[in-house]
Amino acid sequence: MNKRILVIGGGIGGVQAGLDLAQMGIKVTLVEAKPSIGGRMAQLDKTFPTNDCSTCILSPKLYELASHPNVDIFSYSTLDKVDKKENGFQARIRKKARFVNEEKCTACGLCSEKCPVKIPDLFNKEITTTKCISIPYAQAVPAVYKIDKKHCLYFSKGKCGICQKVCTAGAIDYEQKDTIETIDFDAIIVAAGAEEYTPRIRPEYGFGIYDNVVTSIEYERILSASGPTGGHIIRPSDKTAPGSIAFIQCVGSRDISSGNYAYCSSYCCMQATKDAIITREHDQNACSTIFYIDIRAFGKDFDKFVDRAQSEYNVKYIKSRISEIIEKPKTKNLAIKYITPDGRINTKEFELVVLSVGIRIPDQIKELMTELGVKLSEYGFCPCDAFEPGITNVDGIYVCGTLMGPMDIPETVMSASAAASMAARGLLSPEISSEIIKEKPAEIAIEEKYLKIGVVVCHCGVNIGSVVDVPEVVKFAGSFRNVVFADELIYACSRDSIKYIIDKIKEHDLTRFIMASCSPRTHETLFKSALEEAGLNKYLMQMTNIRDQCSWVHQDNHEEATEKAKDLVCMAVGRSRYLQPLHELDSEVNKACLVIGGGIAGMMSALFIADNGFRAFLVEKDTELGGNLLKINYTLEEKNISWLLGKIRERVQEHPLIDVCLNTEIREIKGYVGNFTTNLTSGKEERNIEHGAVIVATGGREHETESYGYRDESYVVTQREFETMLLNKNPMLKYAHTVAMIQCVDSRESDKNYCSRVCCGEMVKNILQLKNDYPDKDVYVLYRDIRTYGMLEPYYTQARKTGALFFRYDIENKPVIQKEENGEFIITVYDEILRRYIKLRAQLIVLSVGIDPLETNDQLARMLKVPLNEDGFFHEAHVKLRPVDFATAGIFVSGLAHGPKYINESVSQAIAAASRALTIITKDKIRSEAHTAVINEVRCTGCGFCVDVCAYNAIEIDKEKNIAAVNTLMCKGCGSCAATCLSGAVDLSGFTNKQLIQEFQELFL
Amino acid sequence: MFTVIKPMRGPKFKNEVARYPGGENIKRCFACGTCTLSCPVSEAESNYSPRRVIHKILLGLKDEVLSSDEIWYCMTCYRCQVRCPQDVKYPEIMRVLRQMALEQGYVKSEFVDAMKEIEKVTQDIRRKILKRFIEKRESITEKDIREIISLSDKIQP
Amino acid sequence: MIIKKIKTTAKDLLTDGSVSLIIGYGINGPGDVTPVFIKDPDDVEKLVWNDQCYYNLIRYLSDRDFIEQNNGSIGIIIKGCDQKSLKVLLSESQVNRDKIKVIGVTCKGLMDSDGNVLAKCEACDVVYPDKDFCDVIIGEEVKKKEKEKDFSDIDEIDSMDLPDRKKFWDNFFERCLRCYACRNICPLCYCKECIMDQHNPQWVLPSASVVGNRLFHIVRAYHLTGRCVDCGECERVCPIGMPLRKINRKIIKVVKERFDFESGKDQEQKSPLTRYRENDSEDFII
Repeated sequence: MNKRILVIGGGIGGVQAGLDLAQMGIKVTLVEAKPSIGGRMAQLDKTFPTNDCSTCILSPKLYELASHPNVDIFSYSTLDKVDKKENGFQARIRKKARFVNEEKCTACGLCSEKCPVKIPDLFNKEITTTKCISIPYAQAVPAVYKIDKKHCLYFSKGKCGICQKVCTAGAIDYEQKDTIETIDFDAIIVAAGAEEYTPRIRPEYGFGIYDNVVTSIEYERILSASGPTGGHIIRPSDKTAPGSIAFIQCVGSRDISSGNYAYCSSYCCMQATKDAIITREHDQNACSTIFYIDIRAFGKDFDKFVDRAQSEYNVKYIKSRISEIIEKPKTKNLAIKYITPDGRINTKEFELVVLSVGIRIPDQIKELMTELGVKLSEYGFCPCDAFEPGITNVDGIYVCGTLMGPMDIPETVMSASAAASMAARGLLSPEISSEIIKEKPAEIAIEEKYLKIGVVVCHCGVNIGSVVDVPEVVKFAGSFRNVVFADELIYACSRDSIKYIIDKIKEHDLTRFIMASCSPRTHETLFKSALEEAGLNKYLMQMTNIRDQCSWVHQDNHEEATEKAKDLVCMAVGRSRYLQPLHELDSEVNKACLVIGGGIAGMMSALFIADNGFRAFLVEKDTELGGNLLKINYTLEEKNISWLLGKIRERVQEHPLIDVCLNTEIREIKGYVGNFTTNLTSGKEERNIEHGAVIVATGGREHETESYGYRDESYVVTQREFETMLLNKNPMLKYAHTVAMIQCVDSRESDKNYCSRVCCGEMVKNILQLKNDYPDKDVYVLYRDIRTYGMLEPYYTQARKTGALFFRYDIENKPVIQKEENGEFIITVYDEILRRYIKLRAQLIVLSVGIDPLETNDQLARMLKVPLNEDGFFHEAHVKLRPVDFATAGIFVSGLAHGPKYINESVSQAIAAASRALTIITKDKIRSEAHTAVINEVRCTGCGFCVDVCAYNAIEIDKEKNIAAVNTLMCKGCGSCAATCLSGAVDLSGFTNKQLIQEFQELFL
Repeated sequence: MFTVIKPMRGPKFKNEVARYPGGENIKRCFACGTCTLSCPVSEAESNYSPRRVIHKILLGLKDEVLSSDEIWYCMTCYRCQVRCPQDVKYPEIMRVLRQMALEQGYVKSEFVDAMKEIEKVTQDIRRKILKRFIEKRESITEKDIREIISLSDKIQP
Repeated sequence: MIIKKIKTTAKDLLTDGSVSLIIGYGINGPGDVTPVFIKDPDDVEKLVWNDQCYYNLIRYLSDRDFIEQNNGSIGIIIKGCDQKSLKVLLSESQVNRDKIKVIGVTCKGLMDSDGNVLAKCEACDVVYPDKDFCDVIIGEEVKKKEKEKDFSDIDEIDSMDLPDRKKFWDNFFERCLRCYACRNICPLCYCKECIMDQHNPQWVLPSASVVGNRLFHIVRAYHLTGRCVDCGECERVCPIGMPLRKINRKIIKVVKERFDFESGKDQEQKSPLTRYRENDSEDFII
């Protein structure tokens, strides 16, 4: 057992899988073909529906992965060979030559600046050029430059060599060769992703022919502040700002004729909406129009996002697929013909057109999968069974992310965590802790009378040194009282420099250390560990940023930049006088997990915790396990749900590590991450259990509708009931020659403005079953948007092929049902194509009523102190990158409790939640933040303002003393409480009021 | 004004159409409107909508469709078929409908022959207009075109 | 007669042991109404009720030392404006509701020594304290008038241009003695160690200089944001006659506009500054 797993692909999927595995104590080798990790998410400008900056939310994960001791990243690398071995795999990894020494390169950028050769910039989708020696983007991880050998003058003609001449770190190595490493692995996770395909498959849209037709990913680069246009929205032909922009949806997707693209790429509707909103935020005069077939806004808060786009950002949605785009030669505007809501044909001119292209699996990835022996579907993706997400036909090889099928970021993150949990099976054990124990020298106790401050000012090559007069800053620093050592370094982060720093700390007996250099984001951890090596508490260091916030932004003003650098150093020195040693607290972790809810999500979470060797308590308030899945008979892919459910229940009930508590409710949950105590009641019995993590999997329920006569009419049923009728060959079906189905009942309107996600797929499923059993029956479906996203789209096509007819209705003009004397129903609906009302006769009406949150969510939410969203579902920490976490540490969510979703999505999320819980309970001890809030009990009045502002529930009022008390394990050191307290009774260690005020005073006094 | 859609038990119109070669994919249609937007006939005649014709077939309005003039307007330029994302093959379906109209007595065979003549003559006129335009290389207005049409029999090919 | 009922209520509460102390209004000489503390049922004769019962007696409930010394139940006489302060204190867990008996009294308005109704009473909307909040209500029921608060004097100052406004306020800040009477009388200024008294770090200059005084008053007003109920005591006790109510009412006006919130109405709701809602106005963020 190597306890090492290979992750292929460094996009968000690979990164998440890698992080989860590393945090479980497993070694990870991540191989990425591009020069840096980050994948397509790094190319996005913002992410929907929060409009967060994509790189801002992604880069912390990239840094975390890169700096984790359990992780080795091979970037700009490929797999030469993968062999199956007895207990795993052996892979030959080829690290391609960058011709730049990774250890020496400091990413100062001088080589790129001086390089005379321009090459197409692939990261910016070739909209612009970059240099032959370059880095994909500023925040790239690893931050190492690379030479494009093909275009390099040195390699092709033996000339130039400028980069090597100017590199002050001596990092350019033309002799560098590819290196091969052969490593053994227990398992492989393929997170290779998918990529946007070229819309040249539909030449009528003019891509590649007309200047002002761009793809969605190109538009993301244009919108991006770090992109080729600096975030200014300008169109290619004349570099003007477009006043009218058209987004064309489904370019190549849902398209059988142009190739194997019958599926829906699932995220493009939301991406176009987001881009249209961002465009309007950039430019109040820009008007966007989105041409669509169905708006697939099926996720959490997506419908609200689309509504806002229309009401607040003036985005127009026109239901009309576009046949062709014609360029007006003089203006280079693009004329688009479309069908108006009242059936006329209109032409409108747009200054810019964005084609929402979908994704497909590139050929080289298909080849890789073939080599690995993994079977792909006809569309090139690697779909998995609903109850075994991530599992392929090859033992030990798992997949996650868009390689499985078109999906958005949260689904990718969930499938990645799930794959991690799967791959880890057999490698974890409660006896082995997943913490990294590093050998450190003993910390020297510092006595307060010895205030000996050391200052190092870094040149960062030319980054700082060419703008700021470093020697002058050093001299200035040395003039302060208590500064016994001041020096300069060219690259403080290099190995030699770190050794130098450690030596000097010891030599001068320093008790405080100032590093005037780059952003803490880059090397704070490195300098902190240097202090530790020298025996000094690592929190006795102050980093001050004289690069990003000084030399980089004042490049034209050397004198003032130097003065500013001096001020910054002066502030840092002042503050350091008040720095105190800080220590993280360790707390024992209880290595068990509580799973609340015994539905499929709860059961899968419990199984994966237990399969990995840890104890799980599965608490269910009903008399049996299964939840909503007990009422489902089959899905589009699985024909025998009850049999599968039976097997899972059996496994759960027989598993020695799962404690199944039926008929049990939770009375109280006390404690915090690593140390929860829960009081369970079952009838008259009571019991306390202890555990280190909690997974909320309480599920949801079918909405109870009053609409369309459901309450009174026995021939008006829900899709759930219809499914059972079909299974049991209910005699009512004999009478129903025509079945009418109504979608979006009570959903997507005023007080229930969310999409229940599963209804369109369920409707399609029932149609296929109905038509299979009774081919002669007629089916009419009245819908608002058909949301058969991803791989469900081909099933929708099948449903149409069976002869079911689909009619779109507007929310303002809902269908009206009247009952005739003979019991038949007449449905009046406005047919948008015929432009007249039609009456359909049906004998059975099937309603898609959607999923409601449980009413008990509120009570549980208050018990756990976690939030619910506007619609009553549990509200995760971050809708994109932390879809199973809560802001409160140690508590996770999965399944319908989080929001409506399909069974396979619930299972994926459940296993992901288990994975996340394992990252906690695999540890013996959990370490707190060193920067935590501290309460001055003398001053505290118990008013509770701090409790209100804490996002992490880390602060509480002690009822007896009527004083605030901080849970240091849950405190994240954000400082909100310290800022809020009126009496100054809360302080944040490491950022105390005294330290901060001293820092300011140094500047002004 | 309401149209009542009758349930058809037994052989249904859309199935009938689907059984003819070329008509197999008719049920695939999801009414995206691409055909209508590609169609050169609908540019001239705004009320001509291939999407609506397909929709009527799917609704089972056999009489309305086979007796309509709509099925004869199609120029079989195949633009819609190239662009249709679901491969519905509208011109092929038109061919099927014309065949059905003939077979089931909605039109006489002389009518079908006349269609061929109309095709030939309209192509001839089109060629003459183009030739005139290409020769003169001036801009051309609708009035000019209509004038040419009225004099077309006097123009040499 | 109101005063009769007050005395009877007080006497009953003391005799049956419901409270061990009554805080009310008494006379300390002609025209001088002061707080009075009654432990003996016979002493209820000292209680008075007139249009000069200025004091916000709630102040005593947030005085920790006082509560410690009088740790039995306390019966307290409140006017409508006092009630608002009490509700804020309850929302901030500073008063144990079980250990007080709230005696609400209908107040038709206080008068100054010249016989003019006080400005704060002209704008009063709680003439009759809340029936479901007080333990006893004395006086006739008066229907609540939903008045639009009059902020015309605030608007007047807002319409001054900045140099004039600075002159207006500096005129007072120059004369402020830093006697802290305003802070000491305020029921909501209950911090054990006031931020103004702290030295390490020193947030505000303690000297009675213009610079220090500006900061003192502004910081105090900010600390009362979403909390001050405009009981007016601060202005009443100021020895130099600073129009302190204007500062606090300016903030009351802004809080109402931005958060649609008025303090002192709901004892479960704290200042909106600690609350986050998704539709909170963000027009100050670009």
